[in-house]
Formats: sequence, structure tokens, C-alpha cells
Amino acid sequence: MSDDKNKTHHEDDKDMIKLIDNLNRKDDVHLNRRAFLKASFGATVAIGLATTPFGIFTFLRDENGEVKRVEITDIDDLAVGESRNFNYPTKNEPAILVRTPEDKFVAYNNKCTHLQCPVFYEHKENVLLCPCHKGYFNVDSGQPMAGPPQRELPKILLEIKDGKVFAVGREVRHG
Amino acid sequence: MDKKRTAFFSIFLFLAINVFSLSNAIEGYYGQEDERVYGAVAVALISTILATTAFFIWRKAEYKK
Repeated sequence: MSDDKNKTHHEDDKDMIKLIDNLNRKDDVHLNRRAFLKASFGATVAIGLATTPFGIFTFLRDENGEVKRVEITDIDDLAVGESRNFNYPTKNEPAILVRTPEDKFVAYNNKCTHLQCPVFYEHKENVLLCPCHKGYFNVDSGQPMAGPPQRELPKILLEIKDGKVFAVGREVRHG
Repeated sequence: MDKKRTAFFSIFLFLAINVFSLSNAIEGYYGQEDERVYGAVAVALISTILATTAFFIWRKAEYKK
């Protein structure tokens, strides 16, 4: 009886030794609840502070973003149902001016809001078309009608004076 | 729930808020929606300050003798 008991204890000890051998001190120190919370806190701070550059650059962009007045064309040079490309507000931002069949002038930045392909005016259907993935935009509002684009085209504000069309501002989100 | 536990779990809540704010700030920046960017930055900074407070509350309770 006593021998049996001793034997069982001996086996238990063996198991315990195995359990201790199995422990990795380095992991035990570095991968625990406290370390996990500290890492999570560090990530929270890092991600929180990562938003600030976007705020700073937005502020700087606002500071530089003076409203420019740019002449696009003479009214007589653009027939009803025609379009003309120009750049606004900078030379790197292409735009399209359209004289609609209702004899109304509208202008948008013509980089497709899906993948930045150029958008063209389709006279027959009276729509703005991005041929890359067949994205359609309403010519009167710039809102997406069909295809992959989800956002409207930035609208260029126009002024017509002395027989000329001027770009005087831009609304990125509108409607 | 005691103070320590609340502080512990709130850090994960603030982490989620900051992830959401960062995604909003990036979308707002590239979509040129200034109000959205400023809103996201404000929320992220407040959330970070609260997370720091929660972390110190937790640390004080955790290492108390």
C-alpha cells in the first residue's frame, strides 16, 4: 500500500518536473497580461497621434488654398453640347467644362472618383463617362449614376462675365 | 466592475475609437473634407488623453503593494 503511494507521488513529481521544464522564462516575462495591456496602450497612443499630421496638412492646405479666378474660354468658342478641358485649381488637376444641351455651363474636375481615369463628356447620352470601368456621372450634378464610382466629381464654380467663362472656386463634396 | 477592470477594458475601447478616427482622418484628407479631418483628429486626441489616464489608473491599481 505504502509502496503504491510512494510510486504515485513519484510519478506526480515527474509530471511536475515536466511542467516546469516546459516553461519558457522569456515568454513568461514578455507575454503576459500586463505586457499585453502595455502594448495595447502603446498602439492606442501611436494610432491616436498618427491622425495629427492629417490635421496639420489639412490646415496648411487651407492656408494656401486661396480662391483663384481663372478664365476658361469665350462663350462663343464653345457650342451647345460641346466640352473643353482645362486645369483648375492647379495645373495638375484636370477639369472639364461642358455646355449642356439646355445651354447651361457646368464644370467638374474630370479625374474619375473611382481610379482617377479621365472622364469625358458623352454628347449623345448627355452624361460624363469614365471609359476605364464604365463609370457614368450626371452632367448636371456630377453625381455618380452607374458603374464603380461612389463619389461625385468635384464641382468647379463658374462665373460668366463679359462673354467669358471663369472658374472661381471648387466644391469637392456637394449635392 | 471595479476601477482597475474598467480602466483595463476602456483602453481597448479607446484603441478601437482611435483606429476608427485614423481611418476617418485619412478618408477625409484624401476626399478633401476638412471638417471630417478636424473632427477625427479631435476625437483621436481626446481618446488618447483618456486612454493615458485609464492606463495610469490601471497601473496604479496593478502595482499597488
